[in-house]
Amino acid sequence: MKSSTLNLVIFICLVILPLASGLVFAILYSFGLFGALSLGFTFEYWYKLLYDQTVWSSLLLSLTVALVSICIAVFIALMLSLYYRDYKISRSKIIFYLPLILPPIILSFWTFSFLGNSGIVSRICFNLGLISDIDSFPSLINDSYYLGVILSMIFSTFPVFTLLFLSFYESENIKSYERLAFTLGGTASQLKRKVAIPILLHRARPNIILYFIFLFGAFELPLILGRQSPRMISVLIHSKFNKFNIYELPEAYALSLIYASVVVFTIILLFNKK
Amino acid sequence: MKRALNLFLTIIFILPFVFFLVLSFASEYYYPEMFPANLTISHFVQMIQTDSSILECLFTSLIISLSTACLSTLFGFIVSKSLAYHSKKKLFQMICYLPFAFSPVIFAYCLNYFFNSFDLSGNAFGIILAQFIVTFPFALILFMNHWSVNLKASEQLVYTLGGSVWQTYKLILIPMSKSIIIICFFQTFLISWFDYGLTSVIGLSKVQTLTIRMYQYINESNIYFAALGSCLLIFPPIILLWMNKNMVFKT
Repeated sequence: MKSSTLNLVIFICLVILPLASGLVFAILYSFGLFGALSLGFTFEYWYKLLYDQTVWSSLLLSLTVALVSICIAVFIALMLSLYYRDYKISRSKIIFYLPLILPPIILSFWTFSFLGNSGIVSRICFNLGLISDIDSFPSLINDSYYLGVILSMIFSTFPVFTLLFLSFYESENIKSYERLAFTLGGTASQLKRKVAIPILLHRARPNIILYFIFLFGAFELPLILGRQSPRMISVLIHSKFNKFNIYELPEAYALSLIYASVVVFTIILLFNKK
Repeated sequence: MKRALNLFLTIIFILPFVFFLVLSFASEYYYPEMFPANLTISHFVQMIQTDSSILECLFTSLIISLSTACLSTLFGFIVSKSLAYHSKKKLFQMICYLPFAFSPVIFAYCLNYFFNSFDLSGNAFGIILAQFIVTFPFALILFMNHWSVNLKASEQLVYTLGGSVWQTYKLILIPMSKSIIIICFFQTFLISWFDYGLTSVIGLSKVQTLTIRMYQYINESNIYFAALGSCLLIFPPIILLWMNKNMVFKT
């Protein structure tokens, strides 16, 4: 067998096969064609799921949290990269790598210790006399606005995009475009708004979309810092799989398929736009 | 102004590391005190003497992550060459993004039946395989963008001069790809090292890795041990980052 054919077979066996088998299994299970309590082909689980308010609120919540986090993180990263563009940051660049070595589970522990009711911020506020006791500190963790989750996501995402934008600023030679615009009478603000930012955003679009997908499916952060209801999509799926009621398993697989279709659709869109 | 901003960013980025280090030595950190009343090494002693399983967790995590990173880098490097020069490269790249973009925990639930059927659940080998299914496509994405016309021309030159496949890899392809190989190893190690979702589902909580143990500590509100676990979890990536700082920062 030729080595290229063998490599193709390895690719099919180790990438396509697990992915396809997982998805096909989920499809069969969600339509009642598989499983311990399977009764034959049925749309029952899908109907149940599509009329379930918690599913839609969970999807909406996940989309909102991911969208808000990515927008704020990209905005901060843009501001920082434009601020640092002429500054020799190579030495201080190392600090931007530090949040990247914090796994989500540690990041959630950090957010809990920092923003929680007995956390560092609360202690500072108490010692400054801003709050009278532990209960008067506003809840930023497990709160209804998912603030803890959003802040953690921003904290872990904006350094990545700052580094990315700084590298794009150099690789895309944006400086020379800015000089050209300046020669043609552009103001400092116009150079940023009409030259640098559009080029950076255009170049980073695939990364932004990919990060959006990651944040949409984030698990550890909402599991520890989120609320019981509504839950983000990964946590909701996890809870459906973990219930002792095995009648909920087909619904859990159906929900996984809804999540998968969002991811697949976004990836296809990303590649077609590319 | 720039100095102030630098200082602010340095503080917010370094604070978690300092906090975990201090908290792992703390014994009485009560509200509203800003700093712990006592610093002690008793948690470390306790960890080694009584709760020796945390060291086992560290060892298990290291074995799983190193195996996953080695396998993904090796297979990724070899397989990606054929895919990169294939006419359907774009399609392959798109497929590679899917397992990597899926939430690991959801992907794990979809694969769980097969892992159970082949008796791969609840053991380290199963976890390595599950993580490999995610890190291998990632390695393919990294390497597919690396293979270029120049590399192909160099490879063909060796064959023309009578070199074998092994010599081509040993003398040309591996030395010319050294930096991307190290980066791939580093990244796949980190993906595996940080994983909680896949490990918890496929491992059935029988395989205790550091992330699984960390989650237990957080759930039990055992903040001192959670801080200690955090230090252990952060330490290897810091070492890796420090060892490869020139290469990583350049790229």
